[in-house]
Parts: sequence; structure tokens; C-alpha cells
Amino acid sequence: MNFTPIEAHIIQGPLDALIEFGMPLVILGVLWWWARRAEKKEPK
Amino acid sequence: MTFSLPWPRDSVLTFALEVAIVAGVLLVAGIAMRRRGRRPFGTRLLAGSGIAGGICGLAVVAAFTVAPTLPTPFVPITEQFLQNPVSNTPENIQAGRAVFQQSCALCHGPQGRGDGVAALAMNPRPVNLQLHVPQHPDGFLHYWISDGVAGTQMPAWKGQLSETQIWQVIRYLRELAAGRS
Repeated sequence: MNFTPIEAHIIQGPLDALIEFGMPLVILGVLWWWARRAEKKEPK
Repeated sequence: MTFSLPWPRDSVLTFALEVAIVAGVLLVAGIAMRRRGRRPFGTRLLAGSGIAGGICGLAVVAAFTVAPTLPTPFVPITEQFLQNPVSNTPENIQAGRAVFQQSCALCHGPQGRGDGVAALAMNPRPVNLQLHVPQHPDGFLHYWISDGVAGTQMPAWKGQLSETQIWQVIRYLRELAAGRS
């Protein structure tokens, strides 16, 4: 598989690179937060 | 007009790989949490892993269907929203055509299909303007014509063509891409 070289990100601009590398972290954070909520809601 | 993502295929595939890693992390964490007795947390982590896997799958499908194969060359934000100051008249379009045939057709071809005489020796090949022009606003086209495109043999024309001539070429390219010229 031919992945994008870092130069391509610089060519596209920092916003694109931020979206590409930041979005997976946001997805991880949101799903983790959603999972933790289930534990807090669980009756004791 | 065909829909296409603003990110090239390689970027979308990189994104898909990163989301697959996220799905893997959630899967391992989910299994670990369930084994430790934190079942609701673990179950939702596993569900989250499935959601991330689904996003990954969608990204892979998008990469091979609606993502372009070339990265969009850089354009400063200040240039991106420029409007064409040259009016859309037959005279300007005709003037644009004359400039195009004299300066651009050698590489981009007489109909802008990227099949000019000089194109065969070029790597990367000149783009098919009939295909690419409709995908970009005027400000982008103006910047690429004026300043050239790094990593290709597209030269900067701002010293050789006047601002008016560049905008006239853009008027002509719009007509050409729309099949009206």
C-alpha cells in the first residue's frame, strides 16, 4: 500500500494534516467517553 | 458534476489505517475490561471497536470510489476565494482561447485533455483540464497558473502573462470544461 508521504500533507496544508491525524484521536476519545458513561450509569 | 472528496486516496487510506488501530485498541481494552469484571464498560468498548471498524470500512470504500488519486496542490488561503474580475463575454473567452492555444496547448493539448505534444515526456503528465477545472474554484486555478505547481513542470506564468490574460484563460477553461467551446 502506498501511503501519503509527509510532503503531501505539507502541500495540502496543515488543516488537512490536522484532520487526518486528529480525527482518529477524536473518534477514540468520543468512543472511550461513551463507554465510560455506561459504567457510571450502571446501578450499584 | 461528479462528487469527490477534498482528500486524496492515500490520505483517506492513511486515515482508515489509523481508525483501524483505534478499533484494535478499543477491542483489546474491551476484552481486558470484561475480564476484570467491568462488563458495561468492556461491552461498550467492544461496541465502540465495531463502530470504529465500520468507519474504517467506509473510509476504505470512499478511498477507492470518491477520493481523487492526486493531492490538491497547495493554494494560500488568501488566494482561494479570489473572484474572476474579467467578465464572462465572448471577447474575453476568445482572448483566453488565443492565450491558451499559444501558451498552454503544447502540454495540456489543444482541447485541454492533457495530451499535448510535450506531454509524453513529462512525469507527472499534465492534467486533463476538462476533468479537473470543474473541481476547483477560480482562485485555485489563478494561483496554479500564476505561480506554477511544485513537483510538476507547470511553470509560473505571472511574469509572462498579464493578470487579465490569466483570468481570460480561466474564463476560456470554464467554457472548455463545460463543453461550450
